[in-house]
Amino acid sequence: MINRLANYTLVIMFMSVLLFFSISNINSVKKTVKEINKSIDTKTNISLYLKQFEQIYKKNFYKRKELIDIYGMALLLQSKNTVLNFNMIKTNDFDFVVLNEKNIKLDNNSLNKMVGNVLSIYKIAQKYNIPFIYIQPPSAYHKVTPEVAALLKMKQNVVFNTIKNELYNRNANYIDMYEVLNNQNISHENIFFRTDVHNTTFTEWETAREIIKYLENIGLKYGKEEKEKIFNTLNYEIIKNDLYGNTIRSAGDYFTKKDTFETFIPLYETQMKLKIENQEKRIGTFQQVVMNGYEKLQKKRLYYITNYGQYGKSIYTYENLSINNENSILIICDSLSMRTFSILSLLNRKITVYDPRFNKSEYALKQILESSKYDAILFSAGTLGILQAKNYGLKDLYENNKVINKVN
Amino acid sequence: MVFSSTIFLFLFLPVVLIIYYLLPKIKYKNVFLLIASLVFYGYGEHKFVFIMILSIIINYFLGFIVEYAKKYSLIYRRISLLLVVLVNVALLFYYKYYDFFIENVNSVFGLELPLKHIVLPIGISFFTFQIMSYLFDLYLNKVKLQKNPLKLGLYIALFPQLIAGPIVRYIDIAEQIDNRTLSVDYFAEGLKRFIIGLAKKVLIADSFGIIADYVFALSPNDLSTMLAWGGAIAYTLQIYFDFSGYSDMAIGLGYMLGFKFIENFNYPYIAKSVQDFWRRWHISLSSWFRDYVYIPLGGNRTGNVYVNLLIVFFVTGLWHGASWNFVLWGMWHGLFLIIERLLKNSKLQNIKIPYIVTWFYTMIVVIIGWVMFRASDMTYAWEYIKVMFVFNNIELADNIFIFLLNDNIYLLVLSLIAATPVYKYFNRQSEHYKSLLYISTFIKPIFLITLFILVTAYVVNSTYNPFLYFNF
Repeated sequence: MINRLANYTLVIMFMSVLLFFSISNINSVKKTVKEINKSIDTKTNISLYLKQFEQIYKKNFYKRKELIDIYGMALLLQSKNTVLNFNMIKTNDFDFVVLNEKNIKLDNNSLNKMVGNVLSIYKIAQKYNIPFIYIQPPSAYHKVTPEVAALLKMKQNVVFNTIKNELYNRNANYIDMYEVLNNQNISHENIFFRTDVHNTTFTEWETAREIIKYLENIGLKYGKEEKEKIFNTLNYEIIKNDLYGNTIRSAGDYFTKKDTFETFIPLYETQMKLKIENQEKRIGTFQQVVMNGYEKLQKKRLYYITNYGQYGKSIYTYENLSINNENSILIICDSLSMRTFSILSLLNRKITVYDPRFNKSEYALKQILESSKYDAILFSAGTLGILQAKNYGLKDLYENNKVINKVN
Repeated sequence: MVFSSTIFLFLFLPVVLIIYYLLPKIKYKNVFLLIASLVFYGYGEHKFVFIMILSIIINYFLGFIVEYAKKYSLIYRRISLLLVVLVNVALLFYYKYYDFFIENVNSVFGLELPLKHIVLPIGISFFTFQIMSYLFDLYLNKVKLQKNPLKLGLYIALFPQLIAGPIVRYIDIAEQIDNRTLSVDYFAEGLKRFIIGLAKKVLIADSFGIIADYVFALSPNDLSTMLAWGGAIAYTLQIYFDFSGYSDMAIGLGYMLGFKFIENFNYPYIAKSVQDFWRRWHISLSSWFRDYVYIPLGGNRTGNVYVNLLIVFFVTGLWHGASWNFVLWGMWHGLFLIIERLLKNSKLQNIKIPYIVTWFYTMIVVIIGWVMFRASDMTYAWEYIKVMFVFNNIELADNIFIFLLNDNIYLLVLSLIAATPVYKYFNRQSEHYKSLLYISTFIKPIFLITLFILVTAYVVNSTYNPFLYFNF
């Protein structure tokens, strides 16, 4: 009798849960079908359609976020430090989490290509007689303990160290921001986010400060008062938000402590103009033009990553209409430096951002270099993604430089 | 489609269960189940459904030939049996072994015959063996000819056991096709089994699979001895929980639909000998080979029992995959079965060896076997095993091993307990105490549903979800 009652209880509970999720996900099915039908390939290929259906259905699953929170809690109960298939790992006492590079193949060929892209830009800068500065932001390999680096067989340290050596050998301007901050005894807590691959706003401000020093060394002029104004945090309204970074998408809100993201909004007057691929898009204040913020979600408990100046286009420029200089800087960078260069836009007349990941033209870089005068070219790679971009638009400018004979 | 996917759990399963239970008669349920099974199979690769349907049709008619031949002399009966074997082995050979065969011919004779790169239909080894068992039993007069193609189709294609077993004998299921128990109690038993199987697969097998894949992707030169053992043990646990988890889900789903399938695993990692291991591991396959290969060869009664064993385990290895390392794995087990048999027949049989020693010996044999099974090729398997036992210039333990061990210690302890009948023992003990019985009876549903929700959380977030035995 007791068994019978328990069996009924089990069956009713199970069917309730099953039907709850099944019925709640009817909308997910519609959403999924809509998304897949946007692709022509899937319409003609049934197998691909069904495979994609499953992937996208999972992404649209009802209460997915809460289920991922449960997943993260289960990891926590097991004292696990790895998330999914070594996608992310908690490392050392400060609970840093990192992204790994398991899908990136590193061999002589790929290393040559990645490092070669940087050196090609350096050579081109020399050819056009424009000062070149390479900035290495604090990156994932700085966060990890030796055993995690060994476990992940991290590749970015190999690539970044090779770039460093090659540029040092050429006496190029090189800023190692992790070294700079480490020498100032800045803790990892202030440099890195726990839950995201990006760095703290503090790190990006310090990077901008360091870059200005280098730019002044190569002859660019900045007013003392202007510098003091820009770098004085009292001149900003600082808004703090809980940051739900990359990790939280895969391990939920409870796997690790949340980060705090600080947004700095100038209290002084600013007037900026934005052009995307030479089309004028906006004129307004710094926060209207530069702080475009991707994935900025207003709803509570949804992932919230704020970053600036990322448009998914090959070229965009910020013109600061309220600054008293004519400095023009060309920047090639990924999202790990976007806030840095948006800060630089407060001090320079023109910042041109070139993103080779979105470049479809063989001649883009040539057009950029010949369409405007630049006082400096800055290159910053926080991850290997930008170095792997297939088309830097170097054709007719310079061939990729083969820098080494073998990978260590 | 895999059981541990959102598509199966929240689209396919609820629809099938609801319609199945709403249909009034068994014959409608059977037709619906057959259609659902074909949809289930066709979801992954829709072209393979036609191969399976073709196989069902051909074997349906072969059944008539076998039955018809019984009226005639032995030679005609034997020809009909030969036809069954040839047709089904030919199908399996073409899809599974053709390229392997051509590669070896090219290697031996220095030829350059082209490979066809044929895609293996999922579960072909399972459903082919299942079909053959029906025809063999028909030949042996153990079962009656099934004249209804839909019922035969249902037996072969029934989705719970279609892709990765257990290999269900027609004799065990024939009556259930027309007459089976559908009740809340049966459903609940099936449900418990299904949820436990799901948890074994998603929570345990997949977690160890990540480790095993990581370690086996390394060059043996990069492995420390402890890491090599770690990888081997991770795979040992992965394959058990993956396969037994799948079997639990298949058996559980069977119960939920009113079918009772045979057990496929009986805690193989507590075996005290390799022979005992094979009485506990993939029981439906080992009994298939025993009944349809070993015994017809003479078993341990006629012929050379050792040769018979080697043949059986050669074929067992080959069944698992078209690669020499699977054959090596099979022969490795065959070798130890022969050794055990020799020892049993010798004067040493009276020596009492403590269980811990025999268990340890069995586990070493099994784990090394799994290294051969998992390795990409025989060279890798040899180099890997060398690292496990030879300490020349290799660190005993390294940071990676320590990190992985710390990261998975609780899971390791849980899985070692789950691989033994400890829970079953305590469950039985609790039946003697009424208060415990009351408590456990009502805690179980809550525990199971919580487990189901936890598994759903893993499934929704997962990027890694293979079923190992799908490859066979």
